[in-house]
Amino acid sequence: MKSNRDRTEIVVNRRFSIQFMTALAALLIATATFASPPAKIALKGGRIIPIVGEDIPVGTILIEHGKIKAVGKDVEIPYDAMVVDVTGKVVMPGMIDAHSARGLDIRNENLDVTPFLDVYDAIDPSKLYFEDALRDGITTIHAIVGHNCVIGGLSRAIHPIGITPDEMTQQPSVSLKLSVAPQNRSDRMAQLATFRETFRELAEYLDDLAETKYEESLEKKDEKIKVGPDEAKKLGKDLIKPEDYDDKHRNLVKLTGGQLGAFVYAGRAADIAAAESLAKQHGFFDQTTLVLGPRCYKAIEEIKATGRPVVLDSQLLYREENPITGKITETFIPKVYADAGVAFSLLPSGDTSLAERYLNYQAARCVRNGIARKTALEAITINPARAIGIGDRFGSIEVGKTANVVVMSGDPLDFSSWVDLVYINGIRAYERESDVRLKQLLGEEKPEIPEQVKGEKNEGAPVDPKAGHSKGDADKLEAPAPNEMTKDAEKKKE
Amino acid sequence: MISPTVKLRRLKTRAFALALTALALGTTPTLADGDSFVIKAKRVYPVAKESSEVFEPGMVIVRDGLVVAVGKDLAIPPDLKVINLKDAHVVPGFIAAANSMTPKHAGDESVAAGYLALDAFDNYGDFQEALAEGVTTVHLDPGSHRLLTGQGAIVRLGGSPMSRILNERSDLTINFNESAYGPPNDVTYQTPASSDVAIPPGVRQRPDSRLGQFVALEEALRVAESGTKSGLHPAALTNAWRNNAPLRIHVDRSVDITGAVRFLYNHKRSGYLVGGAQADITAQEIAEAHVPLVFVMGEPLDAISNDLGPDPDVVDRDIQALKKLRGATIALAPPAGARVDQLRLSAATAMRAGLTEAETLAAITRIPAEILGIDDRTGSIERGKQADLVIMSGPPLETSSHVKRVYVGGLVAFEAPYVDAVVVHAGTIWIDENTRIEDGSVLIEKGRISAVGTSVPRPRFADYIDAGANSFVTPGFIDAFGHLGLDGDTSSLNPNLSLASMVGVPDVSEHRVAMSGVTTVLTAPYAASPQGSQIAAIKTAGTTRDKRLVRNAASVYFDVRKGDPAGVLGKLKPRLEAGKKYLEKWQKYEKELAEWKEKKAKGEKIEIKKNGDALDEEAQEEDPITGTWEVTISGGPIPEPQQAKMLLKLDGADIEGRIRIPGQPDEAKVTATFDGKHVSGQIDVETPFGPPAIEADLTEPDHLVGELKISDIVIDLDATRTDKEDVQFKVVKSRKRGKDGRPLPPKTDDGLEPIRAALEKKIPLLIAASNQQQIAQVLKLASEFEVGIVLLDAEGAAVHFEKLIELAIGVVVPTKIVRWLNHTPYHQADDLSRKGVSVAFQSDAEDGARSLRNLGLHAVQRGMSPDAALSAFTTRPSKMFKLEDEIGSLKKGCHGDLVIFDGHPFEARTRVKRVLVGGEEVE
Repeated sequence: MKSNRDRTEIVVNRRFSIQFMTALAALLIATATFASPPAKIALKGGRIIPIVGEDIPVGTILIEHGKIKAVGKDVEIPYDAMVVDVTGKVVMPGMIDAHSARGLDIRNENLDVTPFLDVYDAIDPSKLYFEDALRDGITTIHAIVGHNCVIGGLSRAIHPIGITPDEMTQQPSVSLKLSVAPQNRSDRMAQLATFRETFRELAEYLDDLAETKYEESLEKKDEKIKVGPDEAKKLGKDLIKPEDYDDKHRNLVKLTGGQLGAFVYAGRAADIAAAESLAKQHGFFDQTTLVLGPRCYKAIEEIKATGRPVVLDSQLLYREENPITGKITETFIPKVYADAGVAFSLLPSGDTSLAERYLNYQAARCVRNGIARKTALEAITINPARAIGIGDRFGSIEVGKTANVVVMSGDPLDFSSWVDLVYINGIRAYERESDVRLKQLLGEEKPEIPEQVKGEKNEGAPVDPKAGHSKGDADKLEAPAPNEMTKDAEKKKE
Repeated sequence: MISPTVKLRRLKTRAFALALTALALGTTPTLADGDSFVIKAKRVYPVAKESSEVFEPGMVIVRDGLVVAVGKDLAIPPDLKVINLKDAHVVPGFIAAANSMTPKHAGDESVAAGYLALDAFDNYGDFQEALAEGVTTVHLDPGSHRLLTGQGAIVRLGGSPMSRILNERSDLTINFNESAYGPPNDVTYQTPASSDVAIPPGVRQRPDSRLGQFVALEEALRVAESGTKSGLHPAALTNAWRNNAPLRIHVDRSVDITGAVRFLYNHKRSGYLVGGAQADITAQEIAEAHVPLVFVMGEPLDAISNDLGPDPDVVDRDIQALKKLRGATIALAPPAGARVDQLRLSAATAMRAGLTEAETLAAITRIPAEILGIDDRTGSIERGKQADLVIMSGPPLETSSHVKRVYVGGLVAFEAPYVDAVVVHAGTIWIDENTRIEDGSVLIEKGRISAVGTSVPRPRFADYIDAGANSFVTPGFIDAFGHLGLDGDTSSLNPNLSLASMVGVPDVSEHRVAMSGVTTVLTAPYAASPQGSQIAAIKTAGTTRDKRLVRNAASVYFDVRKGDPAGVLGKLKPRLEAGKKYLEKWQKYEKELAEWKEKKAKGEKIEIKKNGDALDEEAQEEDPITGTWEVTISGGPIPEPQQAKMLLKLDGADIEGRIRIPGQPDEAKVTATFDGKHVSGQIDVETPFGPPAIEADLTEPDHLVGELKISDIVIDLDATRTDKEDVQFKVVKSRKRGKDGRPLPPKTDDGLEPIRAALEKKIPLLIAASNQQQIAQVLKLASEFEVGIVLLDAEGAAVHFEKLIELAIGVVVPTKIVRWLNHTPYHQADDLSRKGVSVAFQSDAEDGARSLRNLGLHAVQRGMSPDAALSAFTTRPSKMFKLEDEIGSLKKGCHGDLVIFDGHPFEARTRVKRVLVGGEEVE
């Protein structure tokens, strides 16, 4: 339950969200020129890391109408293409955040079972997170509710540009969120009992619905029921139309019918078996992606046997102390998965003050700990795309795919490399030259402080981030939902 | 040169080593997998139903994780590895039938069979704390906070994660306890809620009273039996009830116990009770109804409990209840809220109520397995059951016993961390000639004895050797003069050479000596050099050089037996004088250093002279070396004799100088030592084989004859002094100082170092003498130089016994214990020890030292007191060689070298049972 104090905070933060919305929209429009993009763009002279296929030391990418038309060493550039010289730079597909609740105003509802929700209603385009994501080279975000639920709402794949959720959406209704690991308001017994109850209730609902439909169909024909209820349930099954389902059950029917993906969170090794049996029992195993807490690596054999895509927690190192000897052992988690041959996706940390917030840093850590470069790069591009189910459109530089491309000043795993340019759908969404906030942060440009804001500042009220505050401060304004905070604390405890 | 016998011995050693390697590499058939093995132990407690027989020694044969056989003397299948745990007590894995491992569920429902305790189990957990106290199997409970909390499960805490579940739905958990009263209202949220879909008010739930609990349960069961109500929990209850799930009823108060027993009877259900705080009142009822009880101990052992319980008359309710419950089927469980790792010890307190060890052990192994319905798989060590074994360091219910290892399903689930500590318990512990302890223990930590007495600490996970009531523990025996490890090299040793350099990993002969109980040998060369040879105190066992070396230079060995009485000291005295000078140099340095430190501490300015302090002039009566020498070298690879010039300067026992060697462009530096006759040193020239060595003797004044050695090449050297002045070669002798004015130490002389130590009374000299006159001369020398002495052989020592006692000089008696003297048999060891002289025994042999104890047997047979003989092997030699703080006794601080005998060591039938060197067993 939220305390009153928390509530006021949210209200205050909402107010600021609205304030920023306009300021931010202006900023986004300034940096991103998505009014009438050129139909043909050629990125020429850079080193291309296509992820799928061999690296091209010096090559050209031709983008036509937001799609990649050609990639290669010798690509013929049409006369009407806008040529962008990226000589000496590195071109790679936009990175993908496979699981993030940071674009939502609140991570979770305070009900356990909420399959009727959609993150569409929670996405806050004014969140600084989106601006950061763009700056960090992330072009696709799987916006999904947090782990604090039993069955959460629908997720969607979005890109970090646009001023409405509709504009941002790349793929709606990607998956339903499920969590077999209890969070702060539940325990494992209750968590799993709620799952059983939910699916049992679904079956009961479907039976009742079938019976009703059958009765209705007979009424239309002015006939009387001649069969018992069990027979009626059977006969009525085929009479149900998609629009007959109520809000509470519609998405669950889609899930069990294989029309919807499932992102299932498992917090520890013992949860894997529970997640697997749940998915298999209710028919969504083939659409399941496992979102795994740090301790899950112990069940690597089981995870490997499922053959499902895997999204790893941003905490990559696990420390364990032997209670008898006090000896501490450390495990670099992705190495366990890489050694077992399980394809995994990496997540950036939600803590923006850490280097772990950069996906390419997470990948670089993997390489440093003995994972092949190719595997590490796949874990931030094509693997998350496949886990979300959009691997055919995103995650690599291949002919026919959406032109989500990042141009970096150097190798992506070199931590002194910057993101120079970001193209989303062939639109130049970000250029470092025009990144005002970055320049302010680096002290290259003095911030302009509007008069009235100056006044507010003296009163100790939060200030427009545009008005020259350090990034850390700016992030604090990003409405941290109270249960998000407690959840982080919980996580640390674990 | 190596004699043929030595060669043969070395070959034998090698052959033995080779055989060992072959054995290790698998001349035996391939061994079976990790979960198949044979355990040999001191005692095995099968806890079988039919008999409480304990096998001592015992064996357990395990194949594919299952017990195949258990007994005292079984045939070992050839393909199984044998794990020999000779001090171990093996018991079945403990079963915690009630515990607080799983948290209670968070649901509000008063009757909710849909909660599964198994869901809360982390099958990947490592459970080291529980396993470290021997708990291998636990019952998981969905909680005791509601009337019917759900369904329990039974799991084991080790083995592969997927194999740990023994029963996923083992029972329906019911609570007839106050803790289940007053459940919260049951609220069903309508989602999505809206203005026209209201949230209904919560439904009140039973029970609020004792009556209510039965009503609520009966009501729920009636619904369940009909199977009409839908919903997760009603359906689960219907299922469980129709499948005849056993009822697990938590009860404490006597009325509820009666109610529970009646409830089971009315419904004709199998089940058992858990708790039973007031079971004493209803003991008869429980026994007559044949309802088993998991008795939850009331007193936690790790905290003081302020809860006095419901009955003011009951002081110790556990004992009251358990006394009355004799005859009922009782399993024991740790106190509510306590961790499962308290199971063993809290169960052991049940013996206060008169339970036997066997009954108590069964109450945490076989009986809970029977109650939980898993007795076909675990709970005892019997054929066909899982190999859930707990290896303990002592009897299972003894407080100080520790779990050393745990097997679950034949796989190691817990291994005690290595602790460098061992406790030896014995009937008699012979500390030294004045002290012995009956029924006592020795604690050895990090190789040294840290406690000895009737009661010593038992660090957690330490090894424990219970040697039995007849055992007799002595310090490791010392061979006061032996040659172990010399491999037949009978040459005398250069005084500079330390025998410690030959110490390595013990080989077969050393191992044999160690197994005989001789743990330290004062290793000496067969013959002493005239300048004295170093003796090292070396242990016969130990994995590293450091562990084997007790003292590098334990003594310096001189032999005066062959000289005529008058000339005895001719060789010894100059050496001691040289040593004295060397010592003085060091003392002077140490004094200066102390002064310098004092000055520095005070902050005084220290003057640094450029040329250093002038050395005090030493009056040299006659200098036989200093001057110019014409050198002729010939022989070896040199075709014709060659001439060279050498300029030398003598300073004390050191020679410094220069030589121009033919074929070398520059002059080379010469450094050597001079002992009055012999020049020994080297020329500082780089050759592939190291610098050439000079060994020469002053055959007559001004004439040196000797050889020049480069590796194997020997060149003859002949030199004559042509000038006694050191005209061309002037050494500015100055005492050098460091940059900060600190005095620099004198040059170290390896040969004189032990002599210096002897003069400082740190070590004694070992002087072999035989007749009275020789001994008299030696004693005179001892008084003159105030140096400690040990006499070797010294057949004529008895005459001087008063002097020997006065100067505290010990005698290492000859290997011939009784010999003829003046036509009567003479027992030198007995005679001297009776007179009050310290006596020690020697082997004067290499691995012959393994028979050293026989000398004691012989000595005792011919009249010596057994304790005097024992001290002549232990405390006496250690004191003689000033090693009493290291070896030779079992007092605190000494090395953990001890021998476990099965009787007094000088009884002929007594065998050496075990030997520990530095706390590590020799086997």
